[in-house]
Amino acid sequence: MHREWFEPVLAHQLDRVAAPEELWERVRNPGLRRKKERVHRIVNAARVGACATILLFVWIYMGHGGLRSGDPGEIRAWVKAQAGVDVPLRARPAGVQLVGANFAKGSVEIVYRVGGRDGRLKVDGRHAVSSVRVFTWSMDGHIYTLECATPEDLKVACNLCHIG
Amino acid sequence: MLVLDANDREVIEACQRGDSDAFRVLFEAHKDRVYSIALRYSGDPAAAMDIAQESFLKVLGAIRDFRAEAGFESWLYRIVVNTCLDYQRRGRRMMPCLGGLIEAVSAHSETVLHRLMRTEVEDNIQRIVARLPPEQRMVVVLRYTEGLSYEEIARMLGCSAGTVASRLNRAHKILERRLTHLRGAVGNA
Repeated sequence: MHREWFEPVLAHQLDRVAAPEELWERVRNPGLRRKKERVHRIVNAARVGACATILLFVWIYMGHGGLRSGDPGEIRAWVKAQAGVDVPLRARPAGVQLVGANFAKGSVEIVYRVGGRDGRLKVDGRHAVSSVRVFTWSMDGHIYTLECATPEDLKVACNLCHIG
Repeated sequence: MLVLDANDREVIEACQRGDSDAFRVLFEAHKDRVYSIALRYSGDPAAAMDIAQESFLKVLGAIRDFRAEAGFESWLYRIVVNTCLDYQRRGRRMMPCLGGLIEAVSAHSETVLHRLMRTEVEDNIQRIVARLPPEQRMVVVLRYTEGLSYEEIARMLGCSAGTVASRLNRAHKILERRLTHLRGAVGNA
C-alpha cells in the first residue's frame, strides 16, 4: 500500500504514552473521584449561577438593549420597535447631538449631548418633578421627561422634536 | 498479539474469582495502552483519565462474564473504544489543553525554543487528529497508536476491513491537507 509522507510522523506523534500514576488510585477509589467531581460540579454550578445572576441584574437594571447612533431616523425606528412609542425626532435638531437610545424596565431613554453635556429624554419612566433642568409632561398616554445638565440646555433640547 | 498466554489466563481467572492483586497485575499490564488510546482519541489528558478510569471500572465489573476463547486484548480494546465513543456522545470536554505548553516552558534538558517547536508540532497533530470525525479518528488511533492491522481494527469496531481501509483513506486525505503546513516543522522538530 502507498505510504503517505506523514504516516511515520503520525506513528511517532501518536505513539503510546505512560499512564499517570494516579490512574490506579482513581480505579481503586472511584468514589473519591466522584466526590471530587460532585464538589467540582457544585462549585461550577455556583459559578454559573453567580454569572447568571450578574447578567440578569445587568439585563434588568442596566438595560438589555441599546443603540448607539446619531441618526434621528434610526433612533426613532428603534424606539418604536422596542417600546411601541413614536417619538417625533427632527431630522436635524439644532444644537443637539444625538448619541443613541436605551430600553430598560419598560422605559425608553434617548441620549443626546448639548454643548458637550449629556442629556436624556425618557419616555414612560417614573413621573419626575419638573425643575429648571427637568421637564415632565404627558402626551398620548405616555410620560415624557427631558433632563439636562443646565436650564439653557433644556431649552436647546426642545429642538429634538420642535423647531426652536 | 491478541492471544492470551498462560500467565494472562491465570491472572484473568484470578480476577474472575475476585482477586484484587490479580486485577492490579492486569491493570499494570494494560494501563498504558488504555490511557494512550483515550489520550490520542480525546486529545485531552483530563478526558483521557476519565475514559481510562471508566474503562477499567467496566473491565472490573464485567470480567466475570469474559470468556477466554475471545481474546482478552480484543475485549479490552472494545471496552476502551466504546467508552471513548460514549464519552464523546455525552458531550464531555475533548480539547487539547495548555499543559504541554506549560511543560515546555519549564523544560531543562533542551532549549526552550526547541521544546516549544516540538510541542507546537505535537499539539498541532493532536489537535488535527482530534478534529477528525469519531469513526475515522478511532481508526487512526488504533492504527498509529496501537499499530493494529486492518483486520484487527475491523474486529474491534465490528466492521469489515474494507470499511477500515476506507475510513483510514478518508482520514489520510484530511490529515495530508491539514498537516501540509507542518511538513517543514516536522523535519526540524
